[in-house]
Amino acid sequence: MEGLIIKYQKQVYSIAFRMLNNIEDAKDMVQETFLRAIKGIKSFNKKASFKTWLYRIAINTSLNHLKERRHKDIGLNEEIAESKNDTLSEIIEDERWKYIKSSLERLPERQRLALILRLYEGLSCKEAAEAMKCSEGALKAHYHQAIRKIRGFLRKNGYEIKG
Amino acid sequence: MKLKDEIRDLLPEYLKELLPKELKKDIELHLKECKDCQDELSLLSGLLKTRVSFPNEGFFNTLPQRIMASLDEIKEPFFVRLWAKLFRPLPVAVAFASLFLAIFLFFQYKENEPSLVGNGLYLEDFTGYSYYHKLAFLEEKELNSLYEAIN
Repeated sequence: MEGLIIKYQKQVYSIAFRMLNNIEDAKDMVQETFLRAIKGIKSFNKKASFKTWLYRIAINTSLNHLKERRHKDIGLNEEIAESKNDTLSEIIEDERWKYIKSSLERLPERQRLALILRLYEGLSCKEAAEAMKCSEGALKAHYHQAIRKIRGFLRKNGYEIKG
Repeated sequence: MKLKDEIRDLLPEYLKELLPKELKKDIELHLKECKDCQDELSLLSGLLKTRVSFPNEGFFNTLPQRIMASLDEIKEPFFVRLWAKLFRPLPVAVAFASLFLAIFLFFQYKENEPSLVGNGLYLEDFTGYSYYHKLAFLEEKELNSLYEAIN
């Protein structure tokens, strides 16, 4: 089990951080995810991959955290990596990515999850759908809605993304 | 050539270079013509640049040990675990059912066992032979006195 923790701890942390946007909460969530996984290892159905199963636990744990947080009415504590860039264009660029990041935070949970699993975690549509316990069609819908909303948010704030 | 929606579904894999060569070529051909997909690709690559703030490495180095330690803490006491192991509901139920069945069969057998007592005959000086065996060797007189004693 220790080997599995070492293998997946950073991936689980990434999901946790992108969902909760707070280092301390993400750390707690990683620990809780693995504890739940160990306790529930008997329920692991070998038809799905271990990674997908673990991600599902991570997703449920993060959703619980978000629920609790909403309950406590704690605002999001932004953890934007500090920029060491100095030039004006780099500062503007950095501002742009801050906007992108905050647009990600404004997404509904399921849409944010779909985007995190597909884009950041590199899960296929099938794997992401399994992890989110929904159909592939629903997963794609969440994903495309997320993209549309982010684009809309950036446009509204004067950031046009062009290829 | 793939449809636009299919291409858009594959853009995350394209960005991460997870696609086979032919599919990659298809997407590149489509991207040359499709402004929407170019914009989406640009947005996705922008999103990919957002970084995760990791805690110091010490957190990850000690995580497995901490998890194992907290597992030990929440473990139930030894006797509770032993009880749960030894007395699982199904084996216990099977054991009790077998015991009751054995007791029931024993009494059934006892009830149906041929006996003189059940038939109103009783010999006080039973010496180890079966009642029938003993009766078979009785003289007529003895049989008559036995019959009188019974009645």
